[in-house]
Amino acid sequence: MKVGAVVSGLVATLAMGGAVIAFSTSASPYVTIEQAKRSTGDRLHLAGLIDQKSIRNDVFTRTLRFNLKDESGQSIPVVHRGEMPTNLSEAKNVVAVGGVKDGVFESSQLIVKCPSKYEADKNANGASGQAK
Amino acid sequence: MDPLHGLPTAPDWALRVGDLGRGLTNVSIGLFLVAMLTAMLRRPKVASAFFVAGCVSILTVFSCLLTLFVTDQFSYEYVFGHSDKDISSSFKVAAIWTAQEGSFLLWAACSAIFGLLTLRGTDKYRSGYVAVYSGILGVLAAILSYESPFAIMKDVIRDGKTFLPPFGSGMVPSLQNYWVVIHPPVIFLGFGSLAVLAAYAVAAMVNGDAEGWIARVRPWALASLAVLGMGVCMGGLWAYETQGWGGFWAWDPVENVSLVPWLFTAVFVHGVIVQGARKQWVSGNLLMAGLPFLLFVYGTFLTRSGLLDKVSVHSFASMDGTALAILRGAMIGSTLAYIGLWAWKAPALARAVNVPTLEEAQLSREKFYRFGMLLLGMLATVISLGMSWPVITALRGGQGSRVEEWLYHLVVVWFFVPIMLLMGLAPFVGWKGLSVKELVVRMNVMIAAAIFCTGVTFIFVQGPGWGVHVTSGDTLNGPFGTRLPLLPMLALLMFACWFTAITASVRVYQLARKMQLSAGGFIAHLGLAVTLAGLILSRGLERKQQEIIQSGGSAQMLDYKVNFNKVDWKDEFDREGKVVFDVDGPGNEDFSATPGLYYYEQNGELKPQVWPFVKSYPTHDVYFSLHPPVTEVWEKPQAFKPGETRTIDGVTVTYVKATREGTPGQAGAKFGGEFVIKSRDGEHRVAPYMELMAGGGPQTSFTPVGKDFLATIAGMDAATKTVQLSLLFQRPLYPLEVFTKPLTSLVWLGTGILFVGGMMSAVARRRRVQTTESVPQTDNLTHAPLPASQG
Repeated sequence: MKVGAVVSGLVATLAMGGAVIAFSTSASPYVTIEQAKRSTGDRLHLAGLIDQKSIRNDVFTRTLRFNLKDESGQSIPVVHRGEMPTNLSEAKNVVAVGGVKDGVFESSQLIVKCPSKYEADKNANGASGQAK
Repeated sequence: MDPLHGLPTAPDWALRVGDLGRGLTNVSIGLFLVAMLTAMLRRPKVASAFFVAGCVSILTVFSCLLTLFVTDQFSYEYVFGHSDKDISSSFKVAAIWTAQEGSFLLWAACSAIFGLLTLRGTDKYRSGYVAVYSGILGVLAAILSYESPFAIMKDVIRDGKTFLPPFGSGMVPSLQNYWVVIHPPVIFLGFGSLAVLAAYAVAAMVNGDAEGWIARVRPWALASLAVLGMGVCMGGLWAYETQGWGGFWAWDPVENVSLVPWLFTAVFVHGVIVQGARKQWVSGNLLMAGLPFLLFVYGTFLTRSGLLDKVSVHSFASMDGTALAILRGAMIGSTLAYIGLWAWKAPALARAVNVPTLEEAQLSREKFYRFGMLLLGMLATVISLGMSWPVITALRGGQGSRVEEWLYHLVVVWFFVPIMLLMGLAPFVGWKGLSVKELVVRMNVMIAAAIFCTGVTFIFVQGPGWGVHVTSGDTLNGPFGTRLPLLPMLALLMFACWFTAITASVRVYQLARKMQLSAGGFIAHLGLAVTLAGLILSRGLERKQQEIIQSGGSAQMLDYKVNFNKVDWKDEFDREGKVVFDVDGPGNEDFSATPGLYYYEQNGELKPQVWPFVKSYPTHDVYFSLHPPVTEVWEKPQAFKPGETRTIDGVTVTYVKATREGTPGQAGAKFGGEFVIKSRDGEHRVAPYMELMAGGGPQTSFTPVGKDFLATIAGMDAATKTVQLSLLFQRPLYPLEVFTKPLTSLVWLGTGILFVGGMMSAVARRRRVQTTESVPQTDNLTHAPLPASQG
């Protein structure tokens, strides 16, 4: 039983240690625009308010452009290439996943959070969409 | 105008029903409090009476809300906000749990049902059991009294009268699907049943008896595992059928909140087997019985508190402040109390159990179980850690970070393979044990069969008609930024699944010959292996392509020629509206793909709602994800000053001059502009206009621009002659995504097998409860579901 306990302990430590290391090194950080500009990562998560007026969707080249404002009030142009979210027109908050190149945030994934239909600030669950 | 003018008043009985619901919520808090106190004073009869009364009032509260929903009582804010007159009656029922208040009530009601079902069998554990269970339900009732679904809208009360609006504001369109009717009740029954396991464990610790409770809790633990597992699977199937990204599992926090308790329940179920057979793992079981419930409460807190708002695609309402404080207090209090009690009582209780001494073999089933349970528990812990990662990292300052799907897969696979192998091996190792060599001899045929089947799978899967084309260089994300080759990784995972499936089938065959219902456990293992194989293959070998098909046009997507046929709807608000594509695929794969499309109105704007379409073959699924059609070339109308030339999204427009016909202010007068519009279609000179109509406002022309566009004037400034120009497509564009997903049928098949097996073993255990307490047999190869992971 003693050997068993040692092996179990070892496995548990390795498993937890491995997971913590993997998460610490590879989890995708949420960033502000300021941090995004300084980072070289390409899976940065930039959350912000979408400027509905700035949305340009070129369906032929499948390129979506818009401006995103983060919590600090800073704004950055975003170019999204990839799958189009289905419900962008009703979105306020989006998370763009990607990295900054030449002052533009190049996004490969857009996670759209929809304000629910009826309760602007007290919304129901479920009404949401995700572009994967 | 007065919005209440002409509305009927709300029927008196409906107001009474609301009062009853609200009143009974508060009454049940009192009932549970009394039940808890009398139970703690060891008056089980009195306590049981109050407990039953409390459970019945919670169920009555649920019936009250159900009545209000089914009879369209839109004076109530919650009914108004989530239901509508013209949705089907099954959706009216389902609307109850589409938001915060109703889902807490559903949790409470499901817990109450299990409370009533289990009470009779608790016997000598009753006092402790009722005390804990009453505490849980009392807290839920307290949350409900602050998060009440029975509030009447302030706007409909005038001069002491309550008016009844004729319709509600409807159910969120993306939820209107049959899964919303069945998935939440099933998964909440699973969550509700977790209270049984926790309450039993506390009662056992308080009674100082760590043995007798095992046989009693066992059928309920199996039922929890089966029902919760079914709920988790249904959630995945729901996502697949409606979300449009072509997958079952995205490791969203809301999904993880249901998976983690399920994994810990699986650990507990296997711990119970070890204790039943070998009187070991006593202290571990006392802990594991509580963890599923505690982690569900923790997960509920994480997802409902808004802490994970940025991470989850599910958006939850911010909870009432007091209700959230109650939930937080209960979470911290119950965790500390449970762990404290366990640390205080469990070691002594475990020592008191008389363990039969057996010779230590090289390998024994107990060792395999322990190791499997350890890995399964670690897997659940790692997933909880991943789910909490945004919160943990945010505590260190900054905005935190998030564990994405690929990272979950990378970590989970290290647990998956050994867990599956242990699942396959353990049933063939007796409790008495055997040597490594004996085990190899016993297993070699099955191992060879699994290797053979893995090879055959890949030959088949690579064949034409399965939609799979893997190039040898395809890779997956590996640890430390490396890339792993796709095919060998898939082969390893497939081997693990085949091995488990084959060994489980052998056990089922052996037990079925003896007519043993307990074969259910191995049927469940088989189902799990089949489900996981389906998930791995359908995601790992998935292919996809996105194209834009213009109305009337066609496109080659993967191996399919997709031709637009028509839009099939009565009008654009038709919820059964479909876009019909004729698909011409390889072999006999000719069919119509009909993804759903309709529009609904929100704040005066038309919003599209789309549903994916799945064509299922036994060998593969063809999955069509339609995005809302694009009719406007530019997202918004563009302003042009006279003489201005601009290129927007590939179209160059020159506003030559303003035009005018007729007398301003009189019917028939036309205002507009002359434009030169240059696009892929060539250069065209057009003059769209607005016309003043007799008795009406202005009407705009839709002027064709070559074969592609229509030009229309959205507005004009008379003083500056600035024109707002809109360009529309003459034929709308349909962005379409097609996936081929090999062997997705296995997911459905496996889920069915899993549930049947799980329920079979729960029923088998229930029958045995009264007759056997525990069976310290040496090689009784019965027993129940084993470890699992969701790949």
